[in-house]
Amino acid sequence: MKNFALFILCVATVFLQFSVEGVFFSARRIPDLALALVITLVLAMGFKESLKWILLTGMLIDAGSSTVFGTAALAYFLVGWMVAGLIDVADIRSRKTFFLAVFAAAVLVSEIAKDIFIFAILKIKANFLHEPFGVSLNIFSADYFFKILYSIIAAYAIYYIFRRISRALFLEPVRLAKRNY
Amino acid sequence: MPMFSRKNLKYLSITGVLLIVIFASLRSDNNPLKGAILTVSSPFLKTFRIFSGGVSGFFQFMGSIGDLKSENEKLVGENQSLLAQNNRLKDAEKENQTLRQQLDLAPRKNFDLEASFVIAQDPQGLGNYFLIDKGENSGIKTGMAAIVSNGILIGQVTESYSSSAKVTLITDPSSAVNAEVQSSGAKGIVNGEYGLGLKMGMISQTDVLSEGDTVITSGLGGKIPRGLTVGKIGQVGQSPDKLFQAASVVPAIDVSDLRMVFIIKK
Repeated sequence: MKNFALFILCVATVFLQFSVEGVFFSARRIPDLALALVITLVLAMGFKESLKWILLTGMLIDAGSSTVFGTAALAYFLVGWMVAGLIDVADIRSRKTFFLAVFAAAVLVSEIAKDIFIFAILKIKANFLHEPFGVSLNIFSADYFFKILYSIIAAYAIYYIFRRISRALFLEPVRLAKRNY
Repeated sequence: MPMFSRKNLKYLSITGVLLIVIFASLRSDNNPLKGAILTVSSPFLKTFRIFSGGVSGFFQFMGSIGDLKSENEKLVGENQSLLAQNNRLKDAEKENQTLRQQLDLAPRKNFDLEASFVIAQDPQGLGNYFLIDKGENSGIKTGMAAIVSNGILIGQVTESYSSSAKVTLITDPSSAVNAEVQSSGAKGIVNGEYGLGLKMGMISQTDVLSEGDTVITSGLGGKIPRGLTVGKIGQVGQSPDKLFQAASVVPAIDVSDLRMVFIIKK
């Protein structure tokens, strides 16, 4: 049941990101729900436990993305590893406000790191194939600010939904991951 | 925790495997796994998209009720002038048919069009392509032109799967369309620019360009038919090497907000 619920959560998140968000957000302000899910999973279940779901989410995003296949999977994997490292060095569960601030900071840093990584891979691809390079990344633009803002709000929403689902469906409700993942 | 602990070595090896996948995928966009996932997910993506379009439309309608009355009055006025314009256009239509034959423009009604829904956009928000709900099963092949209902070119099919296809927008820098300025006949190549703009280059120095001139496809190269609208000339300038003229082109529509497109099969 737990695995099935997590599978549905990953697939639904990717479908929302692919198909639904474009109706409500302009192309450059689409929040990264998959990234929000990855951070939520690592914070809630730990990196080791959530590894297969992170890779599944990344592969699904790669399937419909203009990036090179495997890029999103690797980017989400590295983000998950980084967030796991954060849990390892600090007990972020101690205070609610502190947790919310760290959660937002984790989304912010992860989003920028992920986009720079994807940008670099696309640039390597363009050089490799001698194609014109068609992607611009301006992290100081209004569009990027709103993208980050929406991603943070989405991350809070996904975290809340995940906690609810885990209480309702999982045999053992998922608690925040402990240190020493 | 030591850097090369068993756990970290496992994660490093996963990173290595994913890097191999990435470098193996560099050569081709047509990954079979990608195609299989898109084939399976295409009906679900379409359902999600249609449902969210309905929800979005409902909220837009609710928000616009206050404006409907003034809009109605405006539309009545417009309707009167359009009726008069319609009569003039009927005469122009006959003239247009004759001119099209002389200029070898493809009549739009003769296109074999395949109507398709946009089912997904770039999940990374890069915004240069979208997926449609028709693919090889409907006769859609790589290289076919994608237009909207009034003959405006928006892109080309760059990947085709069994029941879905990827359309790369003309605003993508990798896109190149042979184009012509309708009024002067000046020929050039329209490329996408960073962001969502267009640029027309390779225009001879002897050609006369004016801001607001309509740019259409020239049909050179054979893949995209002649006579499709691309946009209007914006600022006119010189290419960096000063050998050609160059101009920005204002796209005819906002390509980031498309619901339905037509693929020209013939």
